[in-house]
Amino acid sequence: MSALSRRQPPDVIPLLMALIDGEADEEDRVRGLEVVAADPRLIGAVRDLDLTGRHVLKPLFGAIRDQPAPEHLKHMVRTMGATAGPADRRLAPARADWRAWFGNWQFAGAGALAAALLLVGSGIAIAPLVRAGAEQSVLAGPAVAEALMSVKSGSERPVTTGSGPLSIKVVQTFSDKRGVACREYEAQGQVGLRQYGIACAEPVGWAQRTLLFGPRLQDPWKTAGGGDEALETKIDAIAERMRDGDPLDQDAEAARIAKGFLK
Amino acid sequence: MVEFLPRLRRFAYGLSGDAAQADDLVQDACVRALTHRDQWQPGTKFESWMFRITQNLWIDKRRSLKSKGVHHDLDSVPEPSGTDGRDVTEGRLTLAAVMKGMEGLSDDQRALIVLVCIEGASYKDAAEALEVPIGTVMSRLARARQLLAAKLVPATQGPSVSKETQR
Repeated sequence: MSALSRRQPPDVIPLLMALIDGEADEEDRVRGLEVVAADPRLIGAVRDLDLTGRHVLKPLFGAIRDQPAPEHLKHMVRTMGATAGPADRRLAPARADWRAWFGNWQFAGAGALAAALLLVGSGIAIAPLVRAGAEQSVLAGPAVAEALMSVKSGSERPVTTGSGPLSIKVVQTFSDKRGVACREYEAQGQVGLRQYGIACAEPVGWAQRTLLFGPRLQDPWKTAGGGDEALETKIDAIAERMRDGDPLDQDAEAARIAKGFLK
Repeated sequence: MVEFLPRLRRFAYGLSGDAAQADDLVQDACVRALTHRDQWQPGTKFESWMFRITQNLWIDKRRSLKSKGVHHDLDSVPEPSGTDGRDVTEGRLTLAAVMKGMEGLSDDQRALIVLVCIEGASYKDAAEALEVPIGTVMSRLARARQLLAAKLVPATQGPSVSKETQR
């Protein structure tokens, strides 16, 4: 016996709705038609349910469905999706304190900072937190620092960190407006997010000026330009704002590597 | 998530009835989802999770504002796609009538109308998204549709009669 045959109005109405919506099984569908035919009181209900069915309302809202999402929303999701993480929730109450703690260091935003801390906490970090004189800073870890000392722009180097292998690729070298040498790089390990960073050769070591995090790539370097385009654009723009003039050319960079960055 | 934004906006629009509020709601929902992404359980539907977040945020917002009702800004109703001027006009009227009719529904009823009748979600998916039994979905949705239809019937009779007489 079907569910419909056991019910009477108004209990039968949700099941008639299921029939109209195509969510009733065959037995209920046949029985439903019989019930409606036998009870004229249900005709009005069927009309109401039909009038508000998917076949009516869905096309009506097609105009909204076809509207593309606003760019600012897409940008926000992409940016947050690349930088936020589960640790955000844990870190949120302390975020203001962290900002003060970092003083004038130019992080890309609170999300990037939270992500940096997330990576630190997960053991994937290459930016351990250290005290650096009067200011607090975030220094690149030893493996990354070593790579930044010697890898040419456009080249990559696999390094070994405490949390496993990591591939680092230097994108450009430049002097910031204080005359300090800085290097933009990308890094990706076997786990964790892909990192887009700028570090500068401060007296205390390679200080992270910007850290952005994006989705991992299947093959970190095989596909040219295969990274997160929005993040690449963003990190490039940050570098451009920091930069005093053009990036170093090959010869100038080679000379700087030979001279050494840290004094 | 970016690909899901149009659907989420449509859902938010159905709840709030206002394009600007819908975008605010979607933005809040995305922020909530991204900062609580560890709460999403693999194996469950991401869309349902996002709908639930959006619905909860809307309820919170309504409560905090102590709003007495949803007011649809008919000027913000997007123009339906179409090339026939008469269809466009009638489509706009009908969409506006639906939005107006939905004002009288509860938040739960409105969410179900949007999920099932506009988004095309199954009863099962709607139940999962709103965390209610499927029987509740069916009874609540049936009631909502009858209420909505009662407001739409006069509205639909006007334009459709007019359209028939023009043929």
